[in-house]
Amino acid sequence: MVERRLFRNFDFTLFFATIAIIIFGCAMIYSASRGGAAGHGYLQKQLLWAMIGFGLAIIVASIDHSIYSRYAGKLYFFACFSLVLVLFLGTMTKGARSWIKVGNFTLQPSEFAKIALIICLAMFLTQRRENMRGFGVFLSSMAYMGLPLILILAEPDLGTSLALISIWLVMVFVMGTDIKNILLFVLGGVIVALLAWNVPGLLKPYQKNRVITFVNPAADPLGSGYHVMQSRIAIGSGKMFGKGYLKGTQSELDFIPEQHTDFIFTVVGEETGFVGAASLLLLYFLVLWRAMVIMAAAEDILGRAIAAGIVGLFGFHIVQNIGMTIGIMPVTGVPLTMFSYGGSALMANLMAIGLLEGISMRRHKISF
Amino acid sequence: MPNGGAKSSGENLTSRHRAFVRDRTTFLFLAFALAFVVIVGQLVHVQVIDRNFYRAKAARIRYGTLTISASRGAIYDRNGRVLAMTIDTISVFANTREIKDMSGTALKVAQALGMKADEIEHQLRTHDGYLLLAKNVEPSVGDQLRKLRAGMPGVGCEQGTMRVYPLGSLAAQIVGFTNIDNKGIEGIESVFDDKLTGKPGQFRAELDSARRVISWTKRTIKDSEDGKNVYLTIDVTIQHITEQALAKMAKKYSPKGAYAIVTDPNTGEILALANYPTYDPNKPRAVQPDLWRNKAVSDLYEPGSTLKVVTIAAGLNEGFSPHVPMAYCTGKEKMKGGRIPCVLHKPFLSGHGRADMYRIIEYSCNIGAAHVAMKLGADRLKRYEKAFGLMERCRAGFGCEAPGYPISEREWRRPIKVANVGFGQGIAVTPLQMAVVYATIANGGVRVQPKILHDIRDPDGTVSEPFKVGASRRVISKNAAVEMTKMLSMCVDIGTGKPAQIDGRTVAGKTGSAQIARLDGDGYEKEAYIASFMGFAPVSKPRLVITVVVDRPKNSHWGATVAAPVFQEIGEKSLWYLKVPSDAPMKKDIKSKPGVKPKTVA
Repeated sequence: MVERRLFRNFDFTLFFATIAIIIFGCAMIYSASRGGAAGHGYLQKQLLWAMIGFGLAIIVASIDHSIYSRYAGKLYFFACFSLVLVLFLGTMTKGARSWIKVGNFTLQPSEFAKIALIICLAMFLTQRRENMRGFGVFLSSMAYMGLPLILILAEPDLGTSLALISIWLVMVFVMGTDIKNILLFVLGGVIVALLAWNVPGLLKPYQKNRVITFVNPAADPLGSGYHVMQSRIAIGSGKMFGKGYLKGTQSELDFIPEQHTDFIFTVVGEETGFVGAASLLLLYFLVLWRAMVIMAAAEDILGRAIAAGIVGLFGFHIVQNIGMTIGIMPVTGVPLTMFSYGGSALMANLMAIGLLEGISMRRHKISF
Repeated sequence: MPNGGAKSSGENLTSRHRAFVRDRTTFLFLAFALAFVVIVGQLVHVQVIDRNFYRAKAARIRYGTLTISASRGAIYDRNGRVLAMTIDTISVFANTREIKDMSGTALKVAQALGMKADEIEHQLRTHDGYLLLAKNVEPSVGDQLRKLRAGMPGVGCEQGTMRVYPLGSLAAQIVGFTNIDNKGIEGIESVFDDKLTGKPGQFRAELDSARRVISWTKRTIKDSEDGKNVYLTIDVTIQHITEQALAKMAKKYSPKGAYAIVTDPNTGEILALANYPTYDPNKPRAVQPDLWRNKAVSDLYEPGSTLKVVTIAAGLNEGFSPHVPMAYCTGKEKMKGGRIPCVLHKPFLSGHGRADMYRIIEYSCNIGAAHVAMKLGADRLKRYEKAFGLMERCRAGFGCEAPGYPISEREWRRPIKVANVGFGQGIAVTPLQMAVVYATIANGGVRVQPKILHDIRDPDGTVSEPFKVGASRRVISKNAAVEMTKMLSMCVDIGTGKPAQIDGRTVAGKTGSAQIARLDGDGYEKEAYIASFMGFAPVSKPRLVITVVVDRPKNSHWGATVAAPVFQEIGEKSLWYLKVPSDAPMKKDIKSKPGVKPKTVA
């Protein structure tokens, strides 16, 4: 299926950075969860998901992305259908209906939906590339992403909804929408946010608290500011070189909730210090940089659009997650890309890596 | 070539379009680069610049000092009978979110607690989260629950302690009680709180987020020091006799309040001190807080005739002859500033006539006492009031004693004031202060500071603060005290104090039936009296001083009718209990008592 010459454009930097991130992540998951009830279970499961994820990535990479685009309509329908399904059949976990139980495992449809929607939107924008600058395409593409976004918001999963916005914004930006449209959108967003804040009942009190806490975490250090203060304390106590692997106490002794998932960066900060945290950032920066290089170098518009969506996805998750743990972003539960414990996210992200490699390998398709 | 895909790749990219893509990509790259720079900047801030702040904060969170609570000491009476103690208890909690089988759990818990299963099930089903099922139950319940626990998630026990007062309301106002934090807030519990509390120990260790000790870390332990045990001077038996006598009187006369104090005149020890009505310190919140107060030491009242002993004792000590008439009493006497009334009984319906000191005490002549007071004059009278301790706190160790009633220098200058104070009006005292006055007479004129604390002992039993007789001072001469005692025993033998007579005992004492001054200072309440009787026995070698004060009795207001029988009952039973030998002939024929077989007297 994959011709050998295609490997000339295989992105090894992206590949090895991905592997390094996953190994680093597994080490941190082990450290964060070994004392818990599940023991080594988290590490073993994560390794299993990684294996399956790599398999999926190879399959995804070996198929030309233009083939997916033929099924964009069906893909879009299936993604939305799964999001509706989870609203009815999903299991309630921590106040949100985001997971569907399949046998012994739980799947998070919204994670896979993000990848599917990147492909669908890429097709949608490619078909309308002639009018890309205009406000009409900007609006219609917004509505196109709006439907699944509302479904995800209904779970409720604010983090994933914001990820969809990020994906869409980066894609329309790269595809060439007028800057004015984006400025208009930002302005509208500010107005909506102000309205939502001031109209009672639109935002739940805990959501408002998170914003207040973000501005001033010390306002309520035992309540909603707890996450923010505790994670900053854990990261800060790691100092330059960290306390050493498996020697962290703040994050491991349950001071920080969700330490193997959303708050795993606190383990990195505490155990490996500034050096480890900066190294992880460097790995992510490599991934984003390579993704953008692939995006820019792709000679087919569809491939570039897909790569742009993945940049939007990864970029949002990385900045939002790490930013939240160090207190420069409000607390919103999104996993750290390819690092946090969680099978659906890991597999979906590896499929995205597969897509990127596929686009990279086929960048000069026109010359064949 | 695999898979056509020509549809979207057939685009011919112009150089202008390439430049556009490059610009947008560069912009995107710079935006993300900026975000990363901000993140790294914040990391530098948190991990490099502020590192010591956060590490110190982490240590503060992680290292916890747990307090090892010290066991609170017990309170005993003089013979080691328990008045207050701390027991171990168990409180049973449930977390409804962890319970799997509601009805099964309810059934098991109900069995262990001895409660109804359906009630517990109802509680479990209507609550969400933590729920207190039973507070402070016996530790054995906890053992039972632990056995059942394996198959019963969501139910837990917590160890605790509880302060209990095994004798209930007995001596409640003396002992007081503790609050929920085991801190004494009333009575002896409050006064000796720091001795009873002990020193809590410390346990310093690394804690996890749920404040549980992490087992594998280093820890330091400083043992706690249990609280000391406090022994009071009271005797539970005499206290019981006293409270029973008050209760019996209260049934008949339903007073607003009543107080009785039994002291040992030689040592100042308070053997019993009772307040009526009383309450159960095990459930102090069930009554009005007013009942908590030890009014026998904290509340002032106008003593009336019982205070005449101070005036007469002063006169005797100043050398006034006891048999020379001090006044001619016609029942009332006008003087500058008011008039002095005398309450008349048979056989003195037209006044007490030629009233010498004996008659003043025997028949409670106000006019006579007023004349003694006026003969003494304000300065001397004041000196004796002070010497008997009426102008100061007794400092017996109750912690809430009233200091006495202040009379201004200007007031003392008015002759009517001196006359009134002479027979116990226009001055206010506490029942305990009056008890000390009579104890001073009984003790041959030497005032001994009253005491409620006997000694304090360490948990192992060593006496750390032994009993010391309180400060003493001579108030009147021995001779004056002997003369005074004679008058008081005459009062009981032939005078107003007859109902206080105890069969087979010599008794000295004085009645009092005082009006109650209005709180606004304007005259006296109508139809409201304080009936009292104070005295001691046996006369020759006094063992007990008994003070009875009854506030607003109904049906009768005479000290002789209301208070003297209480004195009689307490005296008779307590002297018998203390095995004090009889010192007077028995008047009643033992045969006349029903159910008692006559004994041959040897």
